Amino acid sequence: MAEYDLTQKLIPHLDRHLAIPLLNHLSDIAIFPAEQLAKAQYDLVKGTNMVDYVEQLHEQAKTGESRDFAKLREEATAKYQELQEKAQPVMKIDIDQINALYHFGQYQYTLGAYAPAANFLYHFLIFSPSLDLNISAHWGKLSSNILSGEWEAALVEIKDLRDAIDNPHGTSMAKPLAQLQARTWLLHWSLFVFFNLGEGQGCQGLLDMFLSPAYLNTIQTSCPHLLRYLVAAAIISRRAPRPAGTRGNRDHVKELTKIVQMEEYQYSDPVTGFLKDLFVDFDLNQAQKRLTVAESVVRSDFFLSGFADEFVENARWLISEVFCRIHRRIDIGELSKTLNLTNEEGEKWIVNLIRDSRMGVEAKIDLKENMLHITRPHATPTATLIETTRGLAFRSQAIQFAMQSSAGDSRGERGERGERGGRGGRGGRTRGGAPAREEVAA
Amino acid sequence: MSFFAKLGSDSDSSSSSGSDSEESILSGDEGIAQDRKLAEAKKTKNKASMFLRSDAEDSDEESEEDSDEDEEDLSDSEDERAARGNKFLMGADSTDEEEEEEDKTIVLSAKDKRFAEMEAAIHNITNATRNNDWVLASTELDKVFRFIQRHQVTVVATTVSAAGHIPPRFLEILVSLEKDVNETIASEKSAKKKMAPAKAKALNGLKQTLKKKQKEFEAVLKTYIEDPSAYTAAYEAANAAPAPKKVAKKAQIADGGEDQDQNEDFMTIGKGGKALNLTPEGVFKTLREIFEQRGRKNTDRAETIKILSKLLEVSETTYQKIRVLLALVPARLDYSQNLAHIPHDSWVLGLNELDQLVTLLLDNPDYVVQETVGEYDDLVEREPQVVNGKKERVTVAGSLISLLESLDNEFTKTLQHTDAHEKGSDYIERLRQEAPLYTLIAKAQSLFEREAITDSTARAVIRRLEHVYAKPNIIIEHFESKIPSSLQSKIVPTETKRDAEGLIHDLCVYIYGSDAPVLRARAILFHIFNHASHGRYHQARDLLLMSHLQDTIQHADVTTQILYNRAIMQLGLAAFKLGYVTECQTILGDMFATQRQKELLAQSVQRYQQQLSPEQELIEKRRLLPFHMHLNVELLEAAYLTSCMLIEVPLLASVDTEEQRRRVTSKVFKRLLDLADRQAFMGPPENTRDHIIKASKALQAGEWEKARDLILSIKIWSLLENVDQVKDILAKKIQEEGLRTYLFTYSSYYASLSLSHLATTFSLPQQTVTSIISRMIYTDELPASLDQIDKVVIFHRVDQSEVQRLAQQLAERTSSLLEQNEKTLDLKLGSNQQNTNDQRSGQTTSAGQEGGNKNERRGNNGQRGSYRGRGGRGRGGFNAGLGSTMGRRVTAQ
Repeated sequence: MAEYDLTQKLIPHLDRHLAIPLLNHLSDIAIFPAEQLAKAQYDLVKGTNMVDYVEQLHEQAKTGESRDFAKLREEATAKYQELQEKAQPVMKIDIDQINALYHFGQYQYTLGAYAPAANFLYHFLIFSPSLDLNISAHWGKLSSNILSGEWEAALVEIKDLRDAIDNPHGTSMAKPLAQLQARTWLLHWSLFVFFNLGEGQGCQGLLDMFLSPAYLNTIQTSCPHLLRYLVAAAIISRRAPRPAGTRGNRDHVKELTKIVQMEEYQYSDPVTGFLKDLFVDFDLNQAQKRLTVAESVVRSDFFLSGFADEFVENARWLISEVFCRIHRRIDIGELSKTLNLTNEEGEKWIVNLIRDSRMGVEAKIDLKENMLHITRPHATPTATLIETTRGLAFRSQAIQFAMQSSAGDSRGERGERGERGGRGGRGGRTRGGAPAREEVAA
Repeated sequence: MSFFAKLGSDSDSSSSSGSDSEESILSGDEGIAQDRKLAEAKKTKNKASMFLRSDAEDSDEESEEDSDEDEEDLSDSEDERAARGNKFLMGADSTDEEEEEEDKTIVLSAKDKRFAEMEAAIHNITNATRNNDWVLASTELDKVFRFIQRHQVTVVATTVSAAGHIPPRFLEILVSLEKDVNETIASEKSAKKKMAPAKAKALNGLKQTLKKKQKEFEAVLKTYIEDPSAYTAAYEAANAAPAPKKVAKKAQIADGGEDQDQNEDFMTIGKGGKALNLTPEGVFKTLREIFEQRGRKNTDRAETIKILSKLLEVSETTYQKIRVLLALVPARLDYSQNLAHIPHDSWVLGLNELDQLVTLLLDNPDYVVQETVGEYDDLVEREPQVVNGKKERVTVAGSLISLLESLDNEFTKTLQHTDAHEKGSDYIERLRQEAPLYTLIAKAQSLFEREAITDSTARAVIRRLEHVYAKPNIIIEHFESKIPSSLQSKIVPTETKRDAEGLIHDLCVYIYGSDAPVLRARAILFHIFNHASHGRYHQARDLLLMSHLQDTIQHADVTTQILYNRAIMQLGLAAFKLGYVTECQTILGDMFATQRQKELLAQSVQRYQQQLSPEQELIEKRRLLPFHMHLNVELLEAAYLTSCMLIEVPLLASVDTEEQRRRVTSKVFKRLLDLADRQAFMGPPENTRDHIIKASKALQAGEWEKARDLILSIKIWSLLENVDQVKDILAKKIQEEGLRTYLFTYSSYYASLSLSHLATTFSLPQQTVTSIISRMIYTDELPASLDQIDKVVIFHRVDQSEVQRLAQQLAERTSSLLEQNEKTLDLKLGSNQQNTNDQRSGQTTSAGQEGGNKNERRGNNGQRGSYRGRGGRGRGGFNAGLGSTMGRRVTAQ
C-alpha cells in the first residue's frame, strides 16, 4: 500500500499542525516502519511550541539530540504571558494592539490551543485593516477550525479564503504564481473540511469547488494527486441525494474521465485507474480487479478511510450500470463475479438494482437459466419525433407572450423591432409546418 | 593579395625605373593611386567589385599600396614589418635593398608610372601638332592637365619645396603648344582651304584651355620662360631631396584640407594617416579618424578593415585592444551593406575577433564595455585606477550584445544564401562554424552575467537557445563540450553535469524570470519545440496551454509567429508519435487547412493571387529559415492525413445522410477522398498522399490488412526516431478503426454478429473487441447490445424511411430554432430591464437629458441588435442554407 500513499505529496502543501493528524493516521495503519514515522513526527513537531507533545515524541523517536524541555517550556510560558498582556487591553484600539491579537492568536496556535486561537483570530479579522495580515489570519483561523473540529466554521472560512484568492486586491496575492500556490494550499486544506462534513454536503462541496475551472487548472498544474479525492468524491456522491439546483452527477463522472485520461501521464492510482477502466476502456474485468486494489487504498487513506464502504458500494453501482447498459442478456454468475460478490449476494444486489430501477431499463431475472434479461425500449421513429417536437408550440407561445409584453413596454421606440418581428414571423411559419410534418410521418 | 601583386609587378617589370626617391613621394603616389581607383569606381559604378577587379592597372595599384604599407611599417616598427614582410614579399618593392636584389620584379612607383604616362601624352601632343591632328592633341592635353592637377595636390602635401612642384616638361609643352596653336590659327586665317569643322573646334577649344591654364600657372610659367634650364635644375634638386621627417609630413597632411574634398577623404584614410598612426601611440588618433569618416559615401570599407586589423596588431595595452576590436568587428559587419551577406572567411575573422574581445574582457575584469558610459577622452590611454582604496573600472562605450546579434544574423544570412542542395559541402562548411559561434555566445552570456547586464544576458541566452532548441541532443552535447569549463555562469553552472534537456530547461527558466515579454514568449516556444521534438508531448502541451500563447499570438511579431507555427507542428508530430491521433489531427488541422504550410513555417516564399512587390518578397526571403532548421512538411502531412484517415473513415461510415457527411471535420482529407472517388481508375500509389488515400479506400471497404500494409509501406516514416513503435501503434489503430468502420458500414445487414468471429476477422483479442463495441454502445454510436451468454452482439437498428428521417431532421432544426429564439429573447429582455432601470433612475434628471439618454440607448440597441443579427446569420449560415433546401423538398413531396 505504501506506494499509493499520498502523504508525502500532501505534506508540502499543508501547515505543520495539519500534517500531525496525517502522520498519526499513518502510524495507526502501520504501513511504514515505526521508527521512521516517529522520527518524522518528531521532526514535524519540533518547530512548534507544543513542548509536552514534543517531549513525548522525543522519547519515542530516541534521537540522539538532547533538548532542555524545561527551559523551552519556561520560555514558551513567558512569551505566552507577554503576548497575553499585550492582547488584553483590546478596548483601547490602535493598530499595534490589533496586531497583538494576531500574534497572540498565532502563538496560541503554535502551542496547540486551537480553539482560543480561532477565537482571537476571529476578533482580529473583525478589526484589522491590513490585507496581507488578514489573509494570513484567515489561513490561521481555517487551520484552527480544522484542528478543533469546527467544520461548519471552517467551511465558511474556506469560502472567505476562496473569495480572497480569486479576487486578489492585495499585492501579494495578485501574482499568478502566488495565486497558484494559495489555491494549491486551499485545495489541500479543504480536504480536511469536506471529508469531515459527511457524504452529502461534503462531497458535493468538494466537487463544486474542485471542478470550478480555476481550481481544476490548479489541480492539473501543481497537484494532480488530488485527482484521487476528486474521483472518490464523485463516485461516493453519485447516489447521494442531490441538493436542489445542482447539476446532474453524471456530468462529473464524464468530465472526470476526460481529466483522468489527460493527466494519466503524470498521475494515476487505482482509484483513477478504476474510472479509466470503466469509462475509457470498458474493460469490466480489469475494472473489477482495480476496484479491489482501490478499496484497500481508500481504506488506508487518511481522508477517505471513513468512506470506504460507500465508495465500494457506489463503484459497484457504476459497474453494474455500465454492464446493464451495454448488455442484453447477462449471466448472473458472471456479473456477481465482476462485482466481487458471491452468487447469492449478487442476486440480491441485482434485485435491489431492479427495485431501485434507476437504470432506465427493464430487467427480469430468469432463475432457471440463471440470467438477467434486460429489455430496453427502442423508440420508434414516430415516438422520437413526437418527443422532439413536444412542447414546441407551447414554448413558442411563451416567447410570443414575452415579446408582446416587452413590446408593450417600449412601444414605438424602435423601428428595428418590426424587422425582427418579420423574421420571427418566418420562423413561425416554419414552426407551423412542424405539426403538418408530424401528420405525414404518422 | 600576393596574386594580384605579382600580376602587377610582372606587367611593370619591363619598364623599370629608378626608385631613388621612393620615400619622399610615397604619400603622393598613394593619393594618386587612390584617386584613380575612385574615379574608376565611379565610372563603373560598381563599388562592390572594386576590390576584386583584376585588370592590370588596378592590381598594380594594389601592389603599390601594399608595398607602400610595408615600407611605412618598416620605418615605423622594424619588427612588425619583419613579422609580416613575407606576406607581401612576392610582389613588392618593400625596401630598396630588396628591390635591388630581385631586379626581376622591379616595380615602378606610381609616380614614375604617372610620369611615364605624362611623357607619353606629351609625346603624342608633339606628334599631333606636327600632323595637325588637333582633336588628338586636345584629348591628350586634357590627360596631361588631369595629371598635373593631381600631381600638384599630392606634391603640395609633401615637403618638396615649391620649386619642385611643377615638372618642367609640362611647362615646356604648354609653351610650345601655345606657340603651335597660335601659328596654326594664324596660318589658317590665310589658308584657302578651311580646316575640318571638328578639327577647328578642337583647335579653338585648345586655345581657350591653354589660356585658362596659362593664367593658372602664370607665376611658374614666368620663371620657366625666363630661364627654362634653371627651372629644371631647381625642380630636380627639390625632388631629389631626402624624405623629410614624419612629423613634418603629418603637419602637411593636416594642411591638405585645403585641397579638394575628394582628396581630403583620401588624405585621412589613406596612406599618410596610416603611416603615421600605426604605432601604439597613434592607435587612438587613427581610430578617431576612422570613426569620423565612417558611414561617409566614399569610404573604402575594405581599406578601413585592413587598417584596423593592422592597428590591432600594433596595439599593446588591453584598453587599446578593446578599442580597436570594438571598431574592427562592426567594420567587418558593415562590409556587407551592398552584398547579400559578408564573405564567409571575413565572417570567420569577425567571429574570431569578437571572441578575442570577449575573452579579453573575461580575463580582465577591470575593463568593461557598456552602452552608456561617462564622458572620457578617447585619445587618452586609460588604465584601471585605484581611487579611495577601490579599484575603479575602465568603462568603454560599445554594445557587445548588438555585435553578437549582428554576427549571429550574418551567420543566418550566409546560410540562407547558400543552396543546401547544390552546394551541400559549402553549406556544411559554413554550418561547422556554428560550434565556435555557440561557444562565443556562451562566453558572452557569462560575461554579461558577471557584469549583471540583465537585458544583454537575456538576449544572449535567447541567442543561445536559438542555436540549440531544434537540434538533436547529440549535437547540443557536442556544442556544450566545446565550451571551456572555466566559464562562470549562474544560469548554467559548468560544474554540474546536465543533459541537453536540462540545459534548455535552465536557459528557458532564466528567460521566464526576466521581464521582456517577447523573449519570454519565444523562450516558451523554444521549450515547447524542444519538448515536442524529443517526444515529451505532455510537457509540451501543458506548457503551451499554461502560456496562453494561442490567445495572443496574432498580435505577436512575425518571427514569433513563425516560431509558434513551428512549435505547434512539432507538437502535432509528437502527438502522432505517441499514437494520439485525435490530438494530432486537431493540432495539425489548422495548418493544413491553409495550404500554405511552407510559407507559414518560413521555409519558402510562395505566391498566391496577390503578387508580392519586390520589397515584400525581399522581406519574406529574409525571414526564411536556413535549410538545416526546416521541418519536413511531407512528414507532417503524412502524419496529418493518416490521423485524418483513422478518424474520418469510421466517422464517414457512421453517418448515413449527405448532410451529416458535410460536417466532417477535415476538409483537406475529404477533398482528397472525393477526388479519388471521382477517378475511374486508381493507379498504384506513388506518393505519400496516394498511399494514404488508397489505404482509406481499403479501410472503408473493410480491408484493414490492405490498409495497414499501405500505410506501413510509406517510406517517410523512417524519418521518425521511433519508427517501429509508431508503426506498431498505427497497425493497432488501423485494426481497431477497421473494426469500427466495419460495424458502422455493415451493421444494418446483420441481426447479430458473433464476437469471436469479429475477433478473428480483425485479429484482435476478444476482450478488445468487446471493449470497443461496449464503448460504441455506451456512447450511443451503435444501436446494439451484447449478449453475454451467447457471446454475440445484437443490432437494434431501426431503419427510418426517408420521410421519417426528414421529419426528424426538421423537428430537430425547429427545436434548435426555438432555443435560439429563447436565447435571443432572454438577452433582449435582459437588456430591456436594464434600460427601464436606467430610465427610472434617470427620471429625476431633466426631460431633455432623458431624451438624450433614450436616443443614445436606441442607438445602442440598434447596434447591438444588428450585430447580433449578423452574428446569428453568420453562425446559422450553414443551417439556414440547408433549411431552405429542406423546405423545397418538403413541398415537392
